[in-house]
Amino acid sequence: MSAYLYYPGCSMTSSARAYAESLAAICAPLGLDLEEINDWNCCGATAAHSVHHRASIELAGRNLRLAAETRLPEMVVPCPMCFNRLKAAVRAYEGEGRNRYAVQPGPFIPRISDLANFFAAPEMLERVKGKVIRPLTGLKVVSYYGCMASRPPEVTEARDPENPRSMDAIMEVLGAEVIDWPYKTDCCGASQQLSRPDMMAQLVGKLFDMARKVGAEAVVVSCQMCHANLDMRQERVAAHWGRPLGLPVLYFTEMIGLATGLPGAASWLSRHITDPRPLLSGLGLLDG
Amino acid sequence: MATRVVSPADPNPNLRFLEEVSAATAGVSRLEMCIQCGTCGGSCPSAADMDHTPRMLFAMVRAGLREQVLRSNTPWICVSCYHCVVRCPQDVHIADVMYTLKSMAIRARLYTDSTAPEFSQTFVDNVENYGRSYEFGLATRHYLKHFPLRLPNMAPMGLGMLTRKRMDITPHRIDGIEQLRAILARAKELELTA
Repeated sequence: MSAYLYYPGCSMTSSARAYAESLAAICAPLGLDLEEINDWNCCGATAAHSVHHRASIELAGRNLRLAAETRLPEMVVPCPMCFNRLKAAVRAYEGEGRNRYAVQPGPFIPRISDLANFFAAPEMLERVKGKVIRPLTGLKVVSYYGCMASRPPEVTEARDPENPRSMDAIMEVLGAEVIDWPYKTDCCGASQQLSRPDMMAQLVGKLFDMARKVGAEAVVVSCQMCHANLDMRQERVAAHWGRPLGLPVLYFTEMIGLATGLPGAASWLSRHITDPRPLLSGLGLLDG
Repeated sequence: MATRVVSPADPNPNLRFLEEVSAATAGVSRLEMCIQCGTCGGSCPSAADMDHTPRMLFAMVRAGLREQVLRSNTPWICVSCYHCVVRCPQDVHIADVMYTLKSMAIRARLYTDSTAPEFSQTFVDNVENYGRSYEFGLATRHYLKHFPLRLPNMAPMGLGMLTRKRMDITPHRIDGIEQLRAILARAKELELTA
């Protein structure tokens, strides 16, 4: 077993439960041991650094200090927003102004990894490939990355922020048909979901329209903010655009679980508002 | 590192606002380097809803139009997607400047639509109370205050989230909450004196 630190982030315990459950299920078969940071706190998200810059760094600083206590060298983060905020804090703590912060993480800071990138590393892809017993043959998907795992690249250290490939690589290993499309990294407007739902509907509609146009039957994501925004609001967005959407939005971890034949898949997939089960059963990828 | 275009011998009073915004931005904003090319507005998914495109807003900052800038909805409409930041040929830290302008507008009490600032504040309040975000409380408090008439429409979705066990009705409070509150209180104090 290889051990890694794990920072779940707040939504993994509620709206993104399917992401958390599928991730928990796939770890053991793949020989991964994710150790959750003890008593972690909120990363601050966009809201905190809209209001207080210093607080947003120091909120992450407390998490980094807790992480350092474990001495594990690498921390994986499923939520791209948390990933981004933690990376930004590491940058602040490694920069010239590091001494201006009251909370200090200590001399040792673990490497922070985005979960999709972590699974797309060549060695991990090999491990996943070796466990695929039920390839996702016939499933046409687009990978949707959103913003925070890639941008800004000086924070995320993304190699190709305009054309990320991590989920494409994972879905290919699982046997799905991955369709290239131009809106991989366009924003879904999740940050305006509660303030300006009309704007959000416009942005989400644009994404779904293009996904359908290129022939996708489902959208694969690694961001639970994107997932909530794309999965929950399809009726509203369809009303705004005057045409049906109906594209299931899947976490890549659920798809790893499905293709590796894990029994929990039906349960995670039952948590979606836009039900993916008819599509997957129709393709013979899900029993029942 | 910080590049200033104003020579001390020839201060232009209009540029004082530009300097103020730049100085208030975490790190180096590079706002002075803007060449007004418009790549930011062209890359922006929400430009259509903005009072001013980022390019225009930065021209207004340079012109010293303090009040118009801080009343603009632009920083609040920004979705923080950072596309403009990746594409800006001058490496202006556009999204960071938007955060600066939001803070300045709140402090100057010039931004009048309270929906977005109060959402941020509610989020921060939740973190202060529990140490973690509390989605159910955040969403219901926000809708009750700002869009009570939309609540009936939201109910089926809320119910859908509940039945699919995707919403916790009770928040989780971290053990180190007192320590976290002390961190936040001190950060706020230092931010005000900085």
